Amino acid sequence: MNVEPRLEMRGIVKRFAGTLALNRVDFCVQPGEIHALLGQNGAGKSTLIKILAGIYSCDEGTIRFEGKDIVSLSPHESHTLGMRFIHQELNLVPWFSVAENIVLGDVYPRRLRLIDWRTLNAQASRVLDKFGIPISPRSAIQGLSVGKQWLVAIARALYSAGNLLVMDEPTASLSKREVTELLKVVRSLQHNGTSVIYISHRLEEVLDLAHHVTVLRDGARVASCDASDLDIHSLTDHMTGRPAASRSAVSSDSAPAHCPSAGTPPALEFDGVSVSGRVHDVSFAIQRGEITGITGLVGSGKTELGSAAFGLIRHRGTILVNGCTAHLRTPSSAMAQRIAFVPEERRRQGVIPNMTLRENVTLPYLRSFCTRGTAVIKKRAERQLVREMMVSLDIKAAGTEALLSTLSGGNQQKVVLSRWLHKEHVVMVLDEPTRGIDVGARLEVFRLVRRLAREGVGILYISSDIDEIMQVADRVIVLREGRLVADLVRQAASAQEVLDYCYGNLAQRLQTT
Amino acid sequence: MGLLVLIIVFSCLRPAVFPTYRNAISVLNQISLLGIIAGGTTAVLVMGDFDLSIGALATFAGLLVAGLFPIMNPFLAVLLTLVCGVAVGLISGFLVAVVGISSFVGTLAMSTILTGVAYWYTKGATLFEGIPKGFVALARNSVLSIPILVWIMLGILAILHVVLNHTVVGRKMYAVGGNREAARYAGVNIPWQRILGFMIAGFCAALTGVLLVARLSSAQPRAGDGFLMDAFAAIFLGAATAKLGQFHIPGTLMGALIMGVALNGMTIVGVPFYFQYIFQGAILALAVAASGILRKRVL
Repeated sequence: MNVEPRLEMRGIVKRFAGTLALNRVDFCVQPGEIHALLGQNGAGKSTLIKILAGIYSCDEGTIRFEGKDIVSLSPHESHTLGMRFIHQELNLVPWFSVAENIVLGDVYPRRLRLIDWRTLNAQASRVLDKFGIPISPRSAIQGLSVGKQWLVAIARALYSAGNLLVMDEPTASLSKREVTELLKVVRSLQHNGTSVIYISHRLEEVLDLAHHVTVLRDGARVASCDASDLDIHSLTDHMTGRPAASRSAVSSDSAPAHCPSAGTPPALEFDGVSVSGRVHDVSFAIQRGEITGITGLVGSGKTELGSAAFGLIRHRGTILVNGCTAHLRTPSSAMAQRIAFVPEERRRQGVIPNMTLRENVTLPYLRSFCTRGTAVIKKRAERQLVREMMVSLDIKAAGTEALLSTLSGGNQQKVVLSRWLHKEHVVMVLDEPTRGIDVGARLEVFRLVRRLAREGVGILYISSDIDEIMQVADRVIVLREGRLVADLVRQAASAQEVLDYCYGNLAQRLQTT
Repeated sequence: MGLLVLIIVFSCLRPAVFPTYRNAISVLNQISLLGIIAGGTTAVLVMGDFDLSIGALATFAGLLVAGLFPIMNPFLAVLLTLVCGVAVGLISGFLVAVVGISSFVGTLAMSTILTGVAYWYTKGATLFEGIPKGFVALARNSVLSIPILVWIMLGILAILHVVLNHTVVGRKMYAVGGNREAARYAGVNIPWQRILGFMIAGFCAALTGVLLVARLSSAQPRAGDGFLMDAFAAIFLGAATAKLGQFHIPGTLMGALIMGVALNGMTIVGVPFYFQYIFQGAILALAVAASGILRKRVL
């Protein structure tokens, strides 16, 4: 193509505290092109987009937009150049009309210093018509479905002469019909010469829609080619970095890692468990001493399933602990069934930053530190336990009375884990236990999980990192859109296969289960 | 520190009157009711909630107990009033923790309702008939040359301190205040803890109202309303004395003492009463700002 590219990023490097988030990435978008940007979580997609949006600045590399060199990019400059971003949170004002939302942030047309509603609505409907969006400018945002709201967000983004539109996972929460409607509008954009950068996890959709595809992996560009040269398998191979040939070779010499002794009831059993809108009729059982990995994409329902097992959210269906029906309505009722839980978001759900290390560790089972028959806590007993935990988990802190906020992320995570270690549990649910911690701490978490399993705890290990699941779990369960789609013995499965199940492109591989 | 400065300043200004044993006892006596109501409210603030109904509740409790004295055994009247205070706390707590109204708005509504009921009940009049002499003596007499009200305050604050710092309930309250979501994930029953906090505040506010009747030997509409401002000023001053800006009972006592010494000193020195209002307002704003800055430093 001889036309000047709309956007040309060359040799982009971005470091965060010593780790390389983007490593010499080239990224070009032509006018009127739909360009899909793909990669697993943490591959660097959002870092690249944030550089475009002017939120981060790149450490090395050049950016050209419509043939002009861009020296520095602030959010304001990015907007002035014509770049428009639609994030997953649409940032629409729910009680305003469609027209008001479209014009919001721009100048409202006025007459006699009052807002001229007729002109406002006319301007809005001109934009809606231009992109073939079938919504009345007068309807309220509140009454629209999420799919329609996305269309309004597109109209708003392009109201003030945008020529590059970035969409982050637009179809993640849309129904099939809404997706079709959205994609029609996206296709119509190119006739107006608008370029679209399209980020999505739905690979079929991407191959169907995009002209060009760029794949990032571990901060580097691993592929950039026309969509017509790709199929789903070559795409997933690019994303995971495993060539198709080696896919089947890995999985041969395998007996199940753990053979539950007959007769003992499973530690935890889901029987037709549903969580409204998120998990649909999931059934499986975890034996004592077994590490069951659960994986799936964002929105697959894996976190909700774990939360249901700890009484954090309501569920339908039955959850059995040790073979008996457990009524799990609150975390304390789950703890009474000897279920432990390590939440996904350490900062928000895990630690209490302004309390001491000691107070953070002993919180769930305070009663066991009390003088018999009273509710008075013996601090000496607390300190003794916390010191033991600091040694056995190698928690680095100034002492038992150090404020939790003074600990590093990895050490904070060990504190959250250590809360549950001085009591025996039947089941332990770990939701993304290694998120945001360094490699060393990660290995220690793995070791700890294996130790607990050896001691007979049934472990539900939730992670979106497939490599991690393959490393630690005896068995892998894959959820997709709230349904259990695969239940694999780890040695008999490959990461590739698991990923295929996650994305749902497994039609021809079903027989391997 | 601030307390020491205040004492030295006032002692220099009025060396004959201010730094005397009699005046010290008088200050303690003056803050005894403030100490009780502020102590109870500390439990609510520890969890990040507010209770704006404490002043109105104190007024209400005073009128209730004064109204009950002529028609029943005085012990029963006091007991019934205290139970009523706890019940009001339970309702506030339910509205805030279960229904989900913000504590600010919920307790403001409760405060207004209590004021209305109090006026309805008394038609705006002062109640002073049938208050037992023995009850009034509570506020007049001393044990070991320290006023009974001071003993009651010290007792209540000691109990609250032990509960907040050495028991399971208190630890969980601090956890709820530190990170509500994380406390929930560690199995703490959040609504129950918050309701409990409001019940403690309700009990202490009602007790303050009852003892105020003993001190004034009458019950007046609005008599307890002023405690709201003073209590919050004392609590936030107390939080500003702690390293982390956390609410705690010894701090609250310290805050009440600072308020007491300052107001007493200003009265003795002869500062007009309207300056005292200005001082109280300024102290509240400053103390909130200071404790807020301390807390931010942690995170």
